[in-house]
Amino acid sequence: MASPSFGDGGSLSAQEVLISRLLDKALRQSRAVDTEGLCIVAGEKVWQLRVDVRVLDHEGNIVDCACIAAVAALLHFRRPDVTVLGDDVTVHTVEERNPIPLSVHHIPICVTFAFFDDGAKQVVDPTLLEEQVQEADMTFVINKHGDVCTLSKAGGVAVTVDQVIHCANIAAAKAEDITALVKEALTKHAPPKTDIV
Amino acid sequence: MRPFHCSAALLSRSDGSVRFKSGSSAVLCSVFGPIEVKIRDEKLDKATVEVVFKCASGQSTTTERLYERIVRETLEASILTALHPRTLIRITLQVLTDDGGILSTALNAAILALVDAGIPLRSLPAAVTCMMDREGVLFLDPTTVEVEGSQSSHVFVFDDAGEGTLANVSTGAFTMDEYTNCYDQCLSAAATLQSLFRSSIEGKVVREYGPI
Repeated sequence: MASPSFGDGGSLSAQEVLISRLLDKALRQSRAVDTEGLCIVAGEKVWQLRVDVRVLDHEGNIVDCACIAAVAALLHFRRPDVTVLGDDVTVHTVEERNPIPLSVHHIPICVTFAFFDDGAKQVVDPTLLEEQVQEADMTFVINKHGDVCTLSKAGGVAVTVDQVIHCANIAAAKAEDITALVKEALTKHAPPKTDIV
Repeated sequence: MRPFHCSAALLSRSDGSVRFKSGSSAVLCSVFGPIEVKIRDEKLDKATVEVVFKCASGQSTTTERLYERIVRETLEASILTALHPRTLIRITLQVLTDDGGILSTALNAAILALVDAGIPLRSLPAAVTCMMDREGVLFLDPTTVEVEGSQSSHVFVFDDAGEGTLANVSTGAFTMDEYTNCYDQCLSAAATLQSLFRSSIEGKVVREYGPI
């Protein structure tokens, strides 16, 4: 659906594989979600969390967009409440008890840069046209505290260390802005707290 | 029937795209075509029609494969495939919310998306779902809650060109009289849908190109 070059999902193209791996690093390997909190009975029962990302339109920089969507979905999600009494596990329905949000350690945001002019100039959040003529690209997975979870620069033209640090600073600022935007959107669309009748 | 709403030309890369909403059921359809086809799928005298059906969440199961097949075979009969030989028409359906009648919602979204993409069609089809509950009451375009009490459910696709159905998927236990009743109700509902489709398409053309 995203573009004519993406197939129906039979076998992923090289680009699709790279995007999937980057999203995996950003969401799962960064340990953003507290997985210990998903345990119900140690060694026996645990919640499984599944994030489906569907790209609707490809106008450049799918990775950043997909990451924001996934992060917002994880923060918006509410799981059913569970009571454990010894060996007895009760999963309460949404009607019985208010579902509870996931416990999130930090919010990882992807910020991608595209390089031009033999690595001299860079652009944040490249559009489709910019992506197609870029000489190299670099993605930071960074949270608003400035902690870098992933730095991915797979090939392309060489970039100086000063540029990398410069981009990291830009990425940290962008991550702060984007995190604030996501939180604002979530408060606006927060599910109303239903009282138990 | 539940009130429906369609918005077209939503996606910038797709040749045609429509978001079709029937009550709370919403499906986004994107059409690419005619585009390049893989050699092994190429047909020498017609366009190849490919349908991808993605549910709202979770992995694709055999239900999604079944829907893909139904949508593909229905639309293959409607699209003038002989006009675009050795090409591919890819129809991608993404379920946004499922509140019953998702197959007919998807078919309607696909039909309108094909029109939005400018793919030539033989006629303008329309899909309707109806069900009979255990008391023998007929429900047109039922919601998920209503479907739970169903004895049989029927999806019909009618076109405005000739007599007879383009597609029919009926499941459950029903008598011949119940079936004929469903058929007649769906036929008139489809006619209403078709005239509403036409006026919405005309409106879009007038907005883009000026009065006809």
